[in-house]
Amino acid sequence: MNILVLYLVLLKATVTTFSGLASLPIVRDELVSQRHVLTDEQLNTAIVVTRTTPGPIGLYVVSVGYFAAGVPGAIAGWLAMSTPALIIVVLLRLIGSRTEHPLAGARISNRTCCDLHCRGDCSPDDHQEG
Amino acid sequence: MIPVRGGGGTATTRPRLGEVASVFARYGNLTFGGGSATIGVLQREIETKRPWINRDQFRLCYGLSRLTPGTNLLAFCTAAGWLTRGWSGAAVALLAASLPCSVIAVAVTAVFELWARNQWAKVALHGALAAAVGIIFYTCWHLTRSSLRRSNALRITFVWTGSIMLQTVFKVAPIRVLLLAALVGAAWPRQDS
Repeated sequence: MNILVLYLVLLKATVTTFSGLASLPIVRDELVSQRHVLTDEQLNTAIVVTRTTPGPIGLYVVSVGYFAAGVPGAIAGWLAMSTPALIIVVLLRLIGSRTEHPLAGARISNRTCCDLHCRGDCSPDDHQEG
Repeated sequence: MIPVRGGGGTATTRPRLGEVASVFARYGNLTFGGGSATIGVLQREIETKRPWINRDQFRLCYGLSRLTPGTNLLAFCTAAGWLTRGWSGAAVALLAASLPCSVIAVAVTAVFELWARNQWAKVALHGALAAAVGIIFYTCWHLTRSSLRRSNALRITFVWTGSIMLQTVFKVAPIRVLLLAALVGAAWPRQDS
């Protein structure tokens, strides 16, 4: 499979979803159902690999890339996994400067606290009014 | 390290690029348990132990990483790297947090591929694959659980059933299903009460 096409397919999956395995339906549809470069068993194996090795769950796209096109495919998978992360710098530049506004700052802070609370890492002092 | 003052928080220090690479490579790649567990370890390392970012900056990075598409952990590392050393810090943190674990994943995938040719290993692998399906179910439940409330039951049931119907009966591509679900989500906001 063409590496650029593989990168674009995997990028489409990662850039349109917001958590590790949420991109799975798009990856399966594109690579298993439409292009037939991957089997369901290989896709399952990629998830097993991700859960048995350290690192983020979204790492499974690297394993998928390897199954689809060997080491160059794995590089395409790594690029597809890493590229969306750069969007946060744009967000930091756009939104970061506006967090000086009390309401915007408090909203981001409270959203963060909700997530940290789920992890058990949030103290009552961390909450802000807003 | 050069002491600087971060906006709206306590004083922070400016690390060297080598230190950024070392911390994100060690703690971004060697922690099991997914993104949240790793961010917890990184918070201790870059906010508490070495004050590279202050509490406000950590909150900003964490909050925005949840709003960034793709892998939240990598977005968090990129943001933290950018706050400490600008673009070079962002690039180094992203590379350090993603490259070593990717190399490990490729090596393990290659081993799994070799095992698949062995009859005994094939049987063992089938057990692991069944576990992977279980993990996917658990992940689905974990993603849904945080939104499951009586006030949202109708909305969630509608989106959930609609997504399954569109994919299985009408064979609509997943990306279109996701976009339609986003439109429904925007038109039918979540009730938090």
